[in-house]
Amino acid sequence: MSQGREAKVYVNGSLVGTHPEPEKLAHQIRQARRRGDVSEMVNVSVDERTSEVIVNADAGRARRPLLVVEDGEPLISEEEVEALQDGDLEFEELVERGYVEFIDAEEEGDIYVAVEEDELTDNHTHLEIDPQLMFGIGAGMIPYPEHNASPRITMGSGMIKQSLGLPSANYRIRPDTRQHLLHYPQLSMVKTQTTEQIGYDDRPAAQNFVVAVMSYEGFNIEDALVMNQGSVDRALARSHFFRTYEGEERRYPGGQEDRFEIPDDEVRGARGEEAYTHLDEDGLVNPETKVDENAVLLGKTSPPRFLEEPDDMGGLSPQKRRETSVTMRSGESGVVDTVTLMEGEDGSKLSKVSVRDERIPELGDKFASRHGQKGVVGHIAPQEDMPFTEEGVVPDLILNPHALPSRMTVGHILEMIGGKVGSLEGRRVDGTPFTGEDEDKLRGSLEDHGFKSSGKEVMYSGVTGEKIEAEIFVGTIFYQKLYHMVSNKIHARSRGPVQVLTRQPTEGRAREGGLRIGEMERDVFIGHGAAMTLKERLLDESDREWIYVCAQCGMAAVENVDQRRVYCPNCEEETDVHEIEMSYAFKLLLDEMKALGIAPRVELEDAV
Amino acid sequence: MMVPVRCFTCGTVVGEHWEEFKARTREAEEPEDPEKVLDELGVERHCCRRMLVSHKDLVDIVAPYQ
Amino acid sequence: MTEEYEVEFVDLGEREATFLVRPITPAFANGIRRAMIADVPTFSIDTVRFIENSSVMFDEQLGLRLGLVPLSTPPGEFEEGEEVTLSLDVEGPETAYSGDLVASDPMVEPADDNIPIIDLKDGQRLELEADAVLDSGREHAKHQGGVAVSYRHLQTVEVVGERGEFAADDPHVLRGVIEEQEADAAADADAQNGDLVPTDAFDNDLTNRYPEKELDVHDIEDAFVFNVETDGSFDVETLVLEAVGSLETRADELKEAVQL
Repeated sequence: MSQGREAKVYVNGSLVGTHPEPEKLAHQIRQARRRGDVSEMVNVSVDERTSEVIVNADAGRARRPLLVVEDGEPLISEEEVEALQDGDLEFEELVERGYVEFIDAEEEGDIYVAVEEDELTDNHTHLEIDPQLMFGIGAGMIPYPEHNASPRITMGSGMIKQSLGLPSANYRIRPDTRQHLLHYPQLSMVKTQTTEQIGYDDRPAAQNFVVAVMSYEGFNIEDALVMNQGSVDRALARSHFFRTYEGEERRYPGGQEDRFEIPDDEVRGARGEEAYTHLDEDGLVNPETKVDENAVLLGKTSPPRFLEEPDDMGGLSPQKRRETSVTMRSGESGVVDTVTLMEGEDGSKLSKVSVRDERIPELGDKFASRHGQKGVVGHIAPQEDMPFTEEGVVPDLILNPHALPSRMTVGHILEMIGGKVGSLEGRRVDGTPFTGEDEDKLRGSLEDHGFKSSGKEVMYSGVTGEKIEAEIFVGTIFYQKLYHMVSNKIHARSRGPVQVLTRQPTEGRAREGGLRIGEMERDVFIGHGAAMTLKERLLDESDREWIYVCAQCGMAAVENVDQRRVYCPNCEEETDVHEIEMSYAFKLLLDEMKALGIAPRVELEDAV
Repeated sequence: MMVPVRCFTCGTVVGEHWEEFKARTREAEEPEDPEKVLDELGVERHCCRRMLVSHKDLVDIVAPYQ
Repeated sequence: MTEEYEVEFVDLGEREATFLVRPITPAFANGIRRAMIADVPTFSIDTVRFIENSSVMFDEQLGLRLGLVPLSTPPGEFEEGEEVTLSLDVEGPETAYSGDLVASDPMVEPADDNIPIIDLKDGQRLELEADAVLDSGREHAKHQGGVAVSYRHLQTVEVVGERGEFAADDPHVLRGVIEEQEADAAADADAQNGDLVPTDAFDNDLTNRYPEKELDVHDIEDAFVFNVETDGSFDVETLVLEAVGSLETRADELKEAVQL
């Protein structure tokens, strides 16, 4: 009867009943929650339009804490805030007493939140604890993010996760497959509250660079960076790369097993004596040995795959052991760091060799600030060629000014000023979102120390010696070295290994692969009308084969190399067999069709 | 790890000032103002100053694990 | 064709100096500056043979630290490419300093003794033998004799009027050295025209020196103030003289090569 006008009440998505006064119900639930009679996990929201009360208590809702406000005053008192600061009161206590509650996305539509205490009116229901809580851990690491465009914050957060630093205190013992170490990590000059809260200062992952914002001979166009050779020589951004190789003395059924040893000439696939010169008698390489690509790290032999195999004379002969040494990856080199012998899972002997390689910044290494300003080293200029200031300061890094206007990363500029002030005053500057140090104060500090408040300095060109007409903006900013280093990516191949199945070039740098001419690249060749180039790329340089085909039956013919004859097994003729050029992939297709019982016949015509 | 021997940017030797800087600004009973200590040590340029202000000594952290 | 250069020292110490040179072109001044950084050779450790290194840092990291230690380089005694050996033997728990390096030739020694090389813990030991090579900054920054070498135009300040009473109270920042031209308007009672005044004497703020005045700053075209500092390999005089000498040597070589 009157149920049509009553509000429907849903709990966790299921309709449980109706209620005549939805607002009152919601209010009572909220009061009960603050008292503790209802769990803090419960959130309630009223939808006026559809006249529903939605109560959620399930797991998986993202919620945020807010201070409860009643009658224009927060419920929490000054003494309680002091007690919190002194450590006498815990945050959980505040939630239990109902001073702070967690609001989920649904309930957030029903509340009126004030950002600062002075803007509270009677209509407000909640007060923000601190606006910086809208950022998570990644974005919280970025100084002055409120001055940056949001996509740049997203990118900055992502790149912080790619930075090299001190991975763990026990990095020398850990046998991780790949590991990096920055030689001289520094604490950031401009930090945020999040920096301390997550303990970032205990494992710093970047260095403070002196950056000048100017064009330099066209080497820093399109986000490239110019670095100072002198700084690089003095260990700026130097890192080590570690790789751990593993070798195991496996045991095979039948009692045979692998062996760590220096393989002698009898072994199949033995590389010759020089390859094993730096191995010790037990087949393991010594620490601090320089190793190049494809060098042997663990000399290992394995039993033959088949105990006996037919040999040329028609009898069976015992097979020799195979050489299965562990070698350095092709393209990598370094110094052996540690060699460890231990027991594997089934009691077999296991050896791990970790190799370290020093990575000095070179052209192609990627660097980024925390504001999503990434770039690749485009040039490393000798120190005498770099522009210099009156004091003799030369920038570590030259950033192109074009990187700033379209990206709107003003936080980057503020961090540069903050870093300069911090260096001058011997302290770390606070760049916490919304409560960071005021820009005008920082500029005033610059003036106090005898620098222009704009941050610009008069510089002279290192190459010509003349004064540079414009004043250059110079500052100190926290730059990270990212793990995309060119030595891990550079790859070249002219001819090389092919896959067994398709006889096409292999894929991937680790397998010395080729680069794929994909569908869009094919379109480019077609667009240019370069038909022969397309054919060259797709056939001649890939899997071209010459297959004998019988003209009569259209099936592949057989070649008997010893008797030097080519004949068709169907027709039993040798006369009408022709050599046809086709890709091995096509021949494979024909074979697969034959396996299905289809006879794909090739109809031959005379070549035009 | 250890304090770098020279300032990355200009090349002035700053390693020698680290122990005194650390003692006076961090470990002393009454830590002094770092700006004053740097001025007294003669570390003038802001590039050299940041080497000492932002250095984090990691040798003690890493040493137990070898 | 010889030129007379007027050189006036604003500041002279053993390892640093500020001096004015005129008349000189920017190109020549830059040539001297570049020679000081890149061409004057110094000794630096280049090859290290480790007998034992059980410290926290790797061999190559320690090698670089040893290379960056400045070694005294007496001028004229050695030729480029010559080597001198040094050795180091320190056992933990102790810190190895640059002063622990033992030189085979007393002329080539660490210029500073208390540069920490590595902190050694109990049971760790560092024992090595190193070869120091005489080479130039062009090859590697560890051989740079001059650190933070720079120059700037000598500047003059001209008073063009009184500052209006509603003008902003902003500081007028200037860095460098000025040649006094307006001694009467200066706040310093001892100021005389022709004085060379470094700007840090008045905190780099011209309004401190000329209060309530409106100012114009001009560069003196052919006068440059050099700021030279060495890392300890030699003293400033040697550095500047060797730098200029290297320019002269190269000019002579060119002259010979060009003569038919």
